[in-house]
Amino acid sequence: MRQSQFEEEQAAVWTQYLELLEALERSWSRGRSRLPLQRFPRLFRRLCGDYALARSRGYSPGLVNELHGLVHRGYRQLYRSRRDWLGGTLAFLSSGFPRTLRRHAWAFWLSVALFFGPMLAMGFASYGDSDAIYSILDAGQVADMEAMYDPGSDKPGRSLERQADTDFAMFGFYVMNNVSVAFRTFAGGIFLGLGSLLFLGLNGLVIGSVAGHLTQLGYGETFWPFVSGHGALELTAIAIAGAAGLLLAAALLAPGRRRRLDALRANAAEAVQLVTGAMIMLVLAAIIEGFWSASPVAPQIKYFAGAIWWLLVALYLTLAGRRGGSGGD
Amino acid sequence: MEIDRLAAVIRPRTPWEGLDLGFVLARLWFPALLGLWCVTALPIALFGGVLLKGSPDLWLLLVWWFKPLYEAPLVFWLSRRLFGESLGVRDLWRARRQVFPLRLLPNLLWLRLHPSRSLQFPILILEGLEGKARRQRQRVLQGTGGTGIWLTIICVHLESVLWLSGLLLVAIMIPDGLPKLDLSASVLEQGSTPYWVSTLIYWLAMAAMAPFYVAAGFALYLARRTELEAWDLELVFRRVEGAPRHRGRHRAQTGVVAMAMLAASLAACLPSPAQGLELSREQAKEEIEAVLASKEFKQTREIEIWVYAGGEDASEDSGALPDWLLELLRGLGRGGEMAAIAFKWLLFMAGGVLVLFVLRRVLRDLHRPRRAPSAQQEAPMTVTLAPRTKIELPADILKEVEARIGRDDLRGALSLLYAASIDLLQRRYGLKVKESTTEFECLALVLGQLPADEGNLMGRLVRAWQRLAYGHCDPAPKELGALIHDWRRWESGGRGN
Repeated sequence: MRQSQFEEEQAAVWTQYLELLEALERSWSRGRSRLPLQRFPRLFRRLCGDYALARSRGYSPGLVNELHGLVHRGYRQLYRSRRDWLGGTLAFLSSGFPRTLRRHAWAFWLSVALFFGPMLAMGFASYGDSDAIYSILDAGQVADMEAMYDPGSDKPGRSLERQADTDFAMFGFYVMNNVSVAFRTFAGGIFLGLGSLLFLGLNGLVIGSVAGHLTQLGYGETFWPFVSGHGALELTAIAIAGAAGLLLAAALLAPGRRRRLDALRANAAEAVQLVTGAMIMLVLAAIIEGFWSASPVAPQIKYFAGAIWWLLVALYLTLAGRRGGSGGD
Repeated sequence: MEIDRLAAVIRPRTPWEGLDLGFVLARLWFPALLGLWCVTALPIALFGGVLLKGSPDLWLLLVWWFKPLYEAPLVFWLSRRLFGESLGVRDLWRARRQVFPLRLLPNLLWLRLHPSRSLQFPILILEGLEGKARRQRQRVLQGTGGTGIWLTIICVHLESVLWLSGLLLVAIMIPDGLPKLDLSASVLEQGSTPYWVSTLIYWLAMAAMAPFYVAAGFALYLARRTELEAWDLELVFRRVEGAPRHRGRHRAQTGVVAMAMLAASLAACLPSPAQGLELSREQAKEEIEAVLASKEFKQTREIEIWVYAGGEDASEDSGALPDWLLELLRGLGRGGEMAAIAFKWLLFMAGGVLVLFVLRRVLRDLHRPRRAPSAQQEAPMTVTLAPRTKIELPADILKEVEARIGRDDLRGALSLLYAASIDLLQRRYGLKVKESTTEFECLALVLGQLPADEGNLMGRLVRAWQRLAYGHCDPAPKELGALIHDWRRWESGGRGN
């Protein structure tokens, strides 16, 4: 077949294909759904066939190059990776993460017991005995804590070196601090869970003793309004990170019917989901801690906001993603 | 070399693929290789540690310098293991003349810093060449690419990465209450405990990388020899020729585990707690005063600290910075504060928006009705038999079949019967048939699910259809009649028959 005849015969198909191709290249993901996409694979196959024919029949290099270009562009459109970042993140946060947590509820409750148990015990102990805190922290650290929450200081909740820092700088500090604590709690799980136990227990003791000590010192009016805002998110997030660490430990200690390495791989995938969710919660907590907790709002409002946050967190973790709904697991 | 007993697949490999193969081999045999490395490395490390207790740098240099000595048995072991012979420490000791030849000495002296050392070793130890012959052979094996040199560079970097990550892991994972590892001391202060810790971690990194380095060099050597001597072709020829295969001898267990020794040497670094004494109050006071009067407490140290010099007018005296620079810095400071305020509100809004979005999603998911389970699919009344031909099945199949037989269209009749059977199976038993399923595949799918007599019917139908369609043999009228009769019974039998 002569080249001109070939081009004439196929011209209609090529024009259709080119139109669809250019529309695809121009559009965003929303507009794509309106295009007649089901025609594209068939047109692409036709074009590939025509390209092969043109090459094997030895048509002019101009035609061959043009068809090559069309095929190449079509290939890129056909094999595009579709990533819906926003939808994926929302799906993870709204159902994937809570569902994963509920699937491993045993780890979460164990972590809560290991974290809040020492915290409450030490809290009451140091409330009753003013020297109990010195068994956990040394005198310098206790003095720093007292200075931070002194009712007389300008900006309660900030250590002496950071009085002049902006709220934004404090936010950065909180993010770094909280996320590193959570990550250490998670990563400690690989040491057969002993690391996680250690970090959860230590942090619980420290927090509880500080709370109890400051309350019995009379600094309760600065301390409790400060922590009520972000406490729900932060403490829950650390418990979730501990749960992730316990998952890793469970894979190593009780792999069931799988090899330990396989169990670790499977559990690690779930644990990473939990840690990601915990990190997001911690960033949110840092936002609240940096900007809301230090602001001079009446304590009642802060307590109220704190109660709302506790309720929200509890409802979110129990109810989100329960019904069918979107995937995102 | 019996190349038909090689444990790896022999094919022409590019040098980089050879490196890949080496890494895979090292991963596969990592415990044995590491154990073997420790057998030679640990004595030297401990000996060096006793000798050079005060300076970790010299110790590391010593341990690093003797690397060829540790790697020689590894190459030897690999070469035997690749052909199926698993050697133990005893076998290596017996073959020590070959494992630690005298030719190794130049590698410990002036040839220590050869850039592609890993490629040199197989030539030295396995082929037994030295001097000029070795250089020539190396030139041949190295070819045009510098992959051996790249391997050395990559492994050096990986060692550093492992060292740094090990150090940081130890520094970060220590809980808050315990004494922390001073990172700056571990890199800067010679002779301090953190420095020793960092040196030991580097030694561990060397231990971890050594199997990979040696195996990659060996695999590079193999790849090059495969290319030069066409081992893959030779294998094919041997197979064609039918060369007899020799069975390898029973594998010996390699029993080298030196990890306990490593742990012990690490544990030796930890300090031991001090013992307490019982003293009376005056004795204690005297002791304390005597201790405080000793010269260790009379040291002076110079420390520099910053002290606030006063208000705005104090800056006049400094005069170190010109005014315009001061103004610029102040302006930057104010700008920084404004940026911080702006970021603060931005973050607040971003956090609020995120929470709102998530809340909206959660509420939407809660209100959405539960997804109904997918209903039973109604089988289509049109069935695709051959590609791109669709057959409309009439309402009364058997009447049409008999009509076609009356018209002497046996082919049409049997094909209709067959199509109707597939349709019936899809509807009744949920048989999933694709366009590409052949008749026998359909039959196989069916036989598993149907009771015996119906399976029999389907079998007869399929065979008759195939004989007619492909073999052009008409079925006998009696057989056709029997098929129709049984089919009628089957169709009217209904579900669960």
